[in-house]
Amino acid sequence: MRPTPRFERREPVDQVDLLSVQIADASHESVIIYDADARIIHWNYASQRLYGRSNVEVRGKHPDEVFGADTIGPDWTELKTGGSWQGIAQRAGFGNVSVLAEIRLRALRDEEGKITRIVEHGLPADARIVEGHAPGIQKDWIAVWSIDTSGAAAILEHIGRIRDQGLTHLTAIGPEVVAEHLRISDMNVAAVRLFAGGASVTSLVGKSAYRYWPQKHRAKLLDLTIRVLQASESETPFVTAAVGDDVLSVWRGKPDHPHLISTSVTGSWNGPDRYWDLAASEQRYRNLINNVPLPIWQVDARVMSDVIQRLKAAGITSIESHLREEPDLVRFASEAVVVTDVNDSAMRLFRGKLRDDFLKNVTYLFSGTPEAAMRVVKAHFDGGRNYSEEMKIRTFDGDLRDVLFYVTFPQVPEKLDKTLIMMIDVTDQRRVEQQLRKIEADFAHAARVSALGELVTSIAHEVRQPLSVIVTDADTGLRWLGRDEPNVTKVKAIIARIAENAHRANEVIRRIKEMAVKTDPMRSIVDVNDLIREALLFVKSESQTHNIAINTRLVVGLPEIFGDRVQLQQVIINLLINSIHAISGNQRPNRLISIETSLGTKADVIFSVRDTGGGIPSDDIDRIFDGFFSSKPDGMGMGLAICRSIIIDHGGTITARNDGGHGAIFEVTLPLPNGLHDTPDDPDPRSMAGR
Amino acid sequence: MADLDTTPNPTVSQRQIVHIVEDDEQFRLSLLDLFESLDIEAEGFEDANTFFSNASKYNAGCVLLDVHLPGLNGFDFQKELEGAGFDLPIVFMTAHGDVATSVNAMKAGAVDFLEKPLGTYELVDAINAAFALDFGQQKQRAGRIAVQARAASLTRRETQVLGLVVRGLMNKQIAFELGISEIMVKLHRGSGMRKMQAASLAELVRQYELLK
Repeated sequence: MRPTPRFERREPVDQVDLLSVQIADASHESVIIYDADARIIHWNYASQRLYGRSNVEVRGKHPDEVFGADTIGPDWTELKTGGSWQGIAQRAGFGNVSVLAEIRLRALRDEEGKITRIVEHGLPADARIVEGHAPGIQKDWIAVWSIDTSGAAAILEHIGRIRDQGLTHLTAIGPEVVAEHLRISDMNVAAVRLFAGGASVTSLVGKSAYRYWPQKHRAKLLDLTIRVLQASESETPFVTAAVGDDVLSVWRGKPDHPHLISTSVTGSWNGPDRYWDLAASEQRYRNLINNVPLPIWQVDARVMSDVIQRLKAAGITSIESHLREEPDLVRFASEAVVVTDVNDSAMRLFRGKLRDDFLKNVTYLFSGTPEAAMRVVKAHFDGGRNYSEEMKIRTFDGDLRDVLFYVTFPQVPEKLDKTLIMMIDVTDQRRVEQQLRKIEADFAHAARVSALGELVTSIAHEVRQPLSVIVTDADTGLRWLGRDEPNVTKVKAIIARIAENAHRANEVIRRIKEMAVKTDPMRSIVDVNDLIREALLFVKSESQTHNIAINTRLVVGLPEIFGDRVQLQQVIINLLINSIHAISGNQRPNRLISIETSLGTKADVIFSVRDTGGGIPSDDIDRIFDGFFSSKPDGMGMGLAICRSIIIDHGGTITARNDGGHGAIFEVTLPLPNGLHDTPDDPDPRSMAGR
Repeated sequence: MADLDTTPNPTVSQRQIVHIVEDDEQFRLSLLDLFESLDIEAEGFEDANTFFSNASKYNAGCVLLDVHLPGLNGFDFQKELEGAGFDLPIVFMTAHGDVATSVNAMKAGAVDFLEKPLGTYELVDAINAAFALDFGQQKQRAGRIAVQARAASLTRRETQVLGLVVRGLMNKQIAFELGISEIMVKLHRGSGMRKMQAASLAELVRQYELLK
């Protein structure tokens, strides 16, 4: 409490000019004009209303006489030296009622620097905020938060109970959670301007007060708040602490509203720059976030640093195994980590209208891909600077969209309240890619189908022509025979033509068969190992597409054989493709094809293709080499039939069997050129022996 | 229309012929035999060129055309047919009929679209329909040729007067228009009508429609 200096009373009091009086009286603020000796020379209507005394009563008096000597008022010494003073004054009004006023005093000087007048402007301090408690020490500014603590009090109680039971649980709630439940119910102008970037008070109501406290005082204010909350509800505690130049106070105003507490921070004008700077920098940061055309969330993930520290302190090194034991941790993390800011792009991405719908825990970010939350926790635990993945989000109108999710983890745990999450909407790209893939697949299919279709069309045309002749001729023949005088000559000619066209149709069919297996092979000396290596090049992309490994075990020094290079490669490729289709069609976990060569005992070369495609159904194994037999819905059933024709044409054999339950084995033998071209006496009845 | 002046026989032809355009000789012969057994006159052509150089423009009947002709496909043939002044309805045949080809054929004015092997009844139905269509066209064409011949016998003045009559002008107006007396208009009009064998103004107008 600062002593009010004593002034000698002098008569008469200065007169104030009429204009000043009129201006003062028009003001809704209390305006008190003092002379150089701090005697009241004018006192406007607002002052009358505020303090309950009339101009006539107070004129010529010192403030001490009007407001009481032991009340709290401006520091006159500082005013005279510094020229101004601002703060809260607690004064005695009419009937000794305590009046709280936020006042600003300014000293007016003449040319010589001598004080001529002192002008005081005052407004009633908000009773809801100060509840009769003076903040005590007067500083240049006072920021006041009125806080609804009902949620926090419940949590404190809960913590108390847990402690009483001696339980320590991972998800035990720390002070951070208490902090999240301190909801702003009001803030004064100074607090809003300094710490809330000048937002409107209504938009701040209900938000976390903790987040709008000055950063460097948050821990202390929280500490003081918890102390006040722990006091019995009937008490009206007032705790205060000085941190550096600033004074922090927390108090409960009235026992009838035990959940309503107030906190204040007072500071001097000597150093508010750092707060202004901070506010300005926060404002710049917020502008930046808002203007970036990328959906951005700022989340407060400080609670996670605590959780992670606790886990590491408990000796946990692998979060995966721990999460299996503590599945609630991820849920807790998603619920405890809250979004504190969000930009317009993010709101557009989620198709939300109200910013408040976004300023809640981060669960909604993961509703499209809940397991991603676990991966984020894991990445955080593993100490990564950032984490990204492609995931799906569910927008507020229920749409699923593909996004690239990107989160940065500030390396300083205290900065985790500024954890940034970004998303890039890639739905359209993915859709296009998917379409492209589908078109690609369709094309490949269409190419095969159209090759088949063309074949069928040409077969149809070729066969239909003679058939048309036969059908028409048969009808004409019947017509001639049906006449009263049958024209036998005509009928003979017609029947001859029918026979001719029947042969013609047969010829067409023979030609098609020839087309399938060339009858004029180009035989030369070939190395089967080379053929296999070349064939592998053809199927490489197909096997990679289906994620299938192909092992080769090719015997060194394998004798060369005499054969048609292209035809034999056709056989190898056909067998490999069949194996690839068998494996990809069965979705086997073990995806392997082995191709081997060896020297047979009967002067022949053997190669085998073994796959893990599940094998051939026993009902089918005898028929697979038949023409037009296919297990594939779009298969022509010509592949293995042609393979067999080619191998038989080379004097070899081709056999199929199952490899236990794993897959199929196709084995091909090809005779050596100087070897026996006799019919090999193969004991396997299923083998397609050479002719 | 000038070449029509050389028309040898401007009446409706009674002989309707099926012009078979089919590259497969066996089937062409088969069809010729079939039509012979049905007592329908038919002629075979192995491709479009043979048809255009050998078929008479004044033959009546229809064309039985294979869509898949070597060198010139059936639809181009159809266009060429019109361009060359042939006025024959077409029945298409195909060995592989798909919806798209048949729709195209029908849109291009085909009488029918038959799939090989041909059913005799369907074929006969299609040929009959084509002949009926052809008969109507022939009649119209013959009528037009007759009107043209009559119109050619008009004098210059009669042509002028009748031209204005069919435009709906009254004698008085025609007289003013041509700078002659109304009496002269009446005379030219009367002789013109007689030459055109038109009993009424309505018939004259109908004849002039054919000339367009």
